[in-house]
Amino acid sequence: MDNVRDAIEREIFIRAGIERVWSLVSRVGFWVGDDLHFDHEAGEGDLVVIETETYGNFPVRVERLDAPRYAAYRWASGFPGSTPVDGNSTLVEFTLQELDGGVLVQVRESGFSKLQVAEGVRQSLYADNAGGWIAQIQALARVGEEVTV
Amino acid sequence: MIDTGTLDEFDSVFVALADPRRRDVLERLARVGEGTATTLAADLPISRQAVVKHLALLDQAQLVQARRSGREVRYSVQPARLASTADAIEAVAAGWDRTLAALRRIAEAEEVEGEGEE
Repeated sequence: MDNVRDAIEREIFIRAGIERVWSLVSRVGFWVGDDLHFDHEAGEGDLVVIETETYGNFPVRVERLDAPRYAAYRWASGFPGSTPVDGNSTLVEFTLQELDGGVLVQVRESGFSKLQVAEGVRQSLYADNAGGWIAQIQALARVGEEVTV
Repeated sequence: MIDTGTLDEFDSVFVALADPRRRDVLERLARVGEGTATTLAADLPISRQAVVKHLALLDQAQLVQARRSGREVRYSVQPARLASTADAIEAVAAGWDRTLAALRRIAEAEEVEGEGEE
């Protein structure tokens, strides 16, 4: 439920077979680093450390693999070196959908509002968390600019 | 690839904006320019005490700034902070766009190789 509230979603259409696309997105942490890499194969629950020269090391956990349509991973993108747990991590989900001539790949990263912050701030959170607020931030940013101009 | 350093400094912003009533307070403040807990509470269906708490969190996230005026504390929005948060979100989204585009190139190239056409 909470994932709906603070997710970034993107999609792309790929002209390839679903098994081929699955063989790529099912490689844990393939997106971590400057280039894609597909050398880490793992199963549900496994934690794999992806090493990058630029950003540090990122342990990525395989949350779920439902071949060939759904893969979910958890990582602490803002905290290099940290094992992803509640409070420091976001969930990255890939959903594959076969369409005429290829596969629609949707990615969704969610959980930004659950990231840990200074003590005291967290306590007063999570009253009813309604609405797609990421879009609202952008709308609010515009309102703020209008006011000051 | 996501720019991994982009978002963590905005944690408090994400947290502050996760509550719809807090967003209401911020939005109201953005529209009126400046206000106190009392004037904002008069415009919103929540108590002054609740507004005070929301303003404190917004202040902690640097989304608003407080200014003392006599016995009052007057608040105004920090539009730069909102704008930079919007930019950070945009950067993460753009990172995924690049990742997906690279994924497509690789998947489609492999498909061609697999068919022995290249």
